Amino acid sequence: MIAFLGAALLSGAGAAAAADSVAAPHVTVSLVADVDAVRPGEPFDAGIRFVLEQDWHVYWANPGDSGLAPTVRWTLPAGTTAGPIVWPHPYRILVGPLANFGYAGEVVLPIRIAPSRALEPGEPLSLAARVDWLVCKEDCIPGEAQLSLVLPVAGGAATPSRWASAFAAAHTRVPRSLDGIAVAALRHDDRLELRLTARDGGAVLAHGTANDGGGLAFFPAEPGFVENAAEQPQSVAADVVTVSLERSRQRRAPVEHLRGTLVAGGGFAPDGAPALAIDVPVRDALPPPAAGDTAEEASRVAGAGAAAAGSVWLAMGLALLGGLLLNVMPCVFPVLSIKVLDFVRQAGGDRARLGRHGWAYAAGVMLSFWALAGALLALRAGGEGLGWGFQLQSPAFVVVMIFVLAALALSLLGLFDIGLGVTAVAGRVPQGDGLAGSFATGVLATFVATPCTAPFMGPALGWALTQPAARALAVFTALGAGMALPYVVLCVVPGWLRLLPRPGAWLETFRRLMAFPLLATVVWLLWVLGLQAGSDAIAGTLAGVLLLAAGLWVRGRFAGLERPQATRRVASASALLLAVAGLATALAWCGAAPAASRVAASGPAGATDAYGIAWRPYSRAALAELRAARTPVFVDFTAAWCLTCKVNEHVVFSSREVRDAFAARDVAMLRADWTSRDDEITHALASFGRSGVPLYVLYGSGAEPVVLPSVLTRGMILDALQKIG
Amino acid sequence: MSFHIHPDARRRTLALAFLVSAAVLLAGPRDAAADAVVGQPAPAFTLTGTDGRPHSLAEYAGKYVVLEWLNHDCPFVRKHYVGGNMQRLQKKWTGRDVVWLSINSSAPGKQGNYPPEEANELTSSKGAAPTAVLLDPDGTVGRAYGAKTTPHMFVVDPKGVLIYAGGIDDKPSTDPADVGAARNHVDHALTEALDGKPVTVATSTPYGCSVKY
Repeated sequence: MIAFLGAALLSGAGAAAAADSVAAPHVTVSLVADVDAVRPGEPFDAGIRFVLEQDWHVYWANPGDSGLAPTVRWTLPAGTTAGPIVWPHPYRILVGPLANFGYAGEVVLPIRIAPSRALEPGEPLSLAARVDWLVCKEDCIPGEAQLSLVLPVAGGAATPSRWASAFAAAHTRVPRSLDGIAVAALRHDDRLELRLTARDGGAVLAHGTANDGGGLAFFPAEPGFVENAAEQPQSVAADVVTVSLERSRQRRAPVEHLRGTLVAGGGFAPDGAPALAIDVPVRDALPPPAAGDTAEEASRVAGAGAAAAGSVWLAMGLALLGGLLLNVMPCVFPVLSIKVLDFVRQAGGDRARLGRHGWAYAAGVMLSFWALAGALLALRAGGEGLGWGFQLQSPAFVVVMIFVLAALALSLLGLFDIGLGVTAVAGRVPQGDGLAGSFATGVLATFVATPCTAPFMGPALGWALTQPAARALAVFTALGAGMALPYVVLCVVPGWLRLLPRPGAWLETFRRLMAFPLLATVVWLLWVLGLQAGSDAIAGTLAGVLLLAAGLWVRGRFAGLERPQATRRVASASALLLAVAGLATALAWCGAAPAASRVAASGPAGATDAYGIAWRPYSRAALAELRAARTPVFVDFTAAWCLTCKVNEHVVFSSREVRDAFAARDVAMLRADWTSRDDEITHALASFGRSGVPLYVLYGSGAEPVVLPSVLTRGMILDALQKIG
Repeated sequence: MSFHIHPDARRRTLALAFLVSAAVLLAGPRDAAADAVVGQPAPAFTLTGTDGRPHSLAEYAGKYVVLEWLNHDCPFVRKHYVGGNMQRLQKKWTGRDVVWLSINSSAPGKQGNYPPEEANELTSSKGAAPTAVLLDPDGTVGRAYGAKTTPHMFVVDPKGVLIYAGGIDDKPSTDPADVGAARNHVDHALTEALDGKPVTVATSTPYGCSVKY
């Protein structure tokens, strides 16, 4: 062991940049300050500066698996005090299977000094520090030095020293909390997940990906919480970043609180700060919160049925029922009208063929459920804060749906015949078979159905999304099977077919009539689009639909089989061109909407609605505040695209009796509008074991909130209000 | 009414659906490496001692066993040998039928790796009194226990269950003067266990040099 006792090298009063330095093995250690002269009572930074030989390092406050942090003991004149070391973020130093946290090259560790107010100009301020350190490459050498620094006392302004820029660089690397980033920590078995969410639509990282500069690294403030050398798998999206940490293998007690520093190679948004201070309670990943940070989090209610049983069979049973009931939910109904028409038309035909149509429809439903569930699980695994119905949070998806439904409606109105046109193009599909059509109807029905939460479905899906992929897919399979079941049964069970009316002349009238539910769906989707992307997007989409209609008319008028082939080709090509131009127009307009017009999406949540209820926008903070004040709260988790929500709201809030019952109890009305993506709301839904809307929660004065069914009646609301007093 | 979609488009949709599902199913959780964990059976091992004979944990079943990760060139280890702290502990507990195994996991060519004769000479010159000094040059046993530092201490009970893992004491420093004021976790753990009491501090953060794997 080599211990160094540095000779006190006193530089004279008034000398510039006084610094005391000791050359120890592999490291030079000095005491420096960011000013050349101090003013009485005016704090400044002193610091320990280490200049290390290549491959040698000194340690951070938590040295990691081995090593030791440097320490400083001051001897200061009366009235002058020193703060703790302000640690710049460290680097990870891997030594075989171990990891250390420390510094290489050159580092200044700043310490705030508050000089006495009684200092007199002409009497220098003299600082003395005993510094102990451990310097390691692979082998380690402890060192110690007695360093001193004498600074003149100035009457005027303190002048920056030649070290000022080194101090500034060190301070840049000190972790801080950032207003634009919300941090949460979740517990998953033997891992901890840090989850960073950008507030107010901002970004988490200053650069698109963390890979610009080596990814993210978490440094725990204290030992014994996480495995220092373990990989830290991470996912990076613009507004959500997660870092997964392995819990310390020796640790038996659950980690309740996590403190440390998260470093991003490319820096955090908005201005590239490299290090974020982490100091958060740790919550159970799902179903939520043992030790919640708000009252809302502390409650687990719905979904608990499925979760507690822990049974995939129960969840699948609920999902099957939910799928069956989806058929009578308002979102699916218009599309199903097409299916009904299809059945009536085919009812007179060959039974085996009808059976095939039933199965093709079921296949369309099942594959769409799998594709949606797979995409959702993959995106969630990638750290996206998404839930069921997520595709409708994208204006582009809504535009495409509007186009498909408008085209279908125009076809039903007789503007053109889709079957004829596409068959003529594809050529290979035998005319009149139409199995692909049944398949496509299944796909369409599923995509339209997903934003609807049916009874029983919410808890089952909420549970499924927290499970391993195989189980989650099983639940989604049950849901799809439930939705397809009535049609398969109808096609396969012979007796049931006789219940359908015989096709006849009335069929043409019925077919025209069925266009109107579809057009109603288009109107609803346009309204959703308006809330998401502003009124310009509605205009753009309608203009696009106009071009589409013109194209479809051209096709219907000039591409009929009675036309010469050349005419048909030109007509088909023009129709396609017009349809594509229409879609491009619509997408361009909905993408061009300024952010300001999207704020309109929160309109319904911030104002008095058509029924005279003054809604306040939901936020966790607002809820916590109201709960703290013991105010009863009703939270309506909703979305413009959720027809179930809209129907519920109408049924319930159009009633004067219900409104009076709320008013009589001074219930605060919060609306969580999930029309556009909102991770805070996604998180709140997850805390109730849900992954989609609607969800209705009533908080009385008791600890446990009441979760109301997703298909609401006035009676249920009145009962629930009665119970909270 | 019915409508058709192009067969190619349909195939692409199917392919996408299956790819997404497969990607999700394949992304399973990673298995964590196993460390010795307090409250669970200590990992079994057999190592050759500097006495030239094999020593296994199993042969000491029925006795308390202390495992001490050792590197005589590490300043933190020196802290405990310079003032005789470690030697006193070894003598005290081997005198009460506790087995003390000092394990050296330094790889060949790395700091602290000595051939058996030199290792024996170090043991005697320092007046150390372990039951045996074991050589683990490929680091297998060190990794199995998750030994991070020298010293890093483990205590195994007569049933083979790990009852302590962590630092030698609660004063992480290289200064021998700190030994007196420190709480020696190993001494306390053995005292409590031999009295039939539960170990109050069963884990702590080990401090020292990295094990030279």
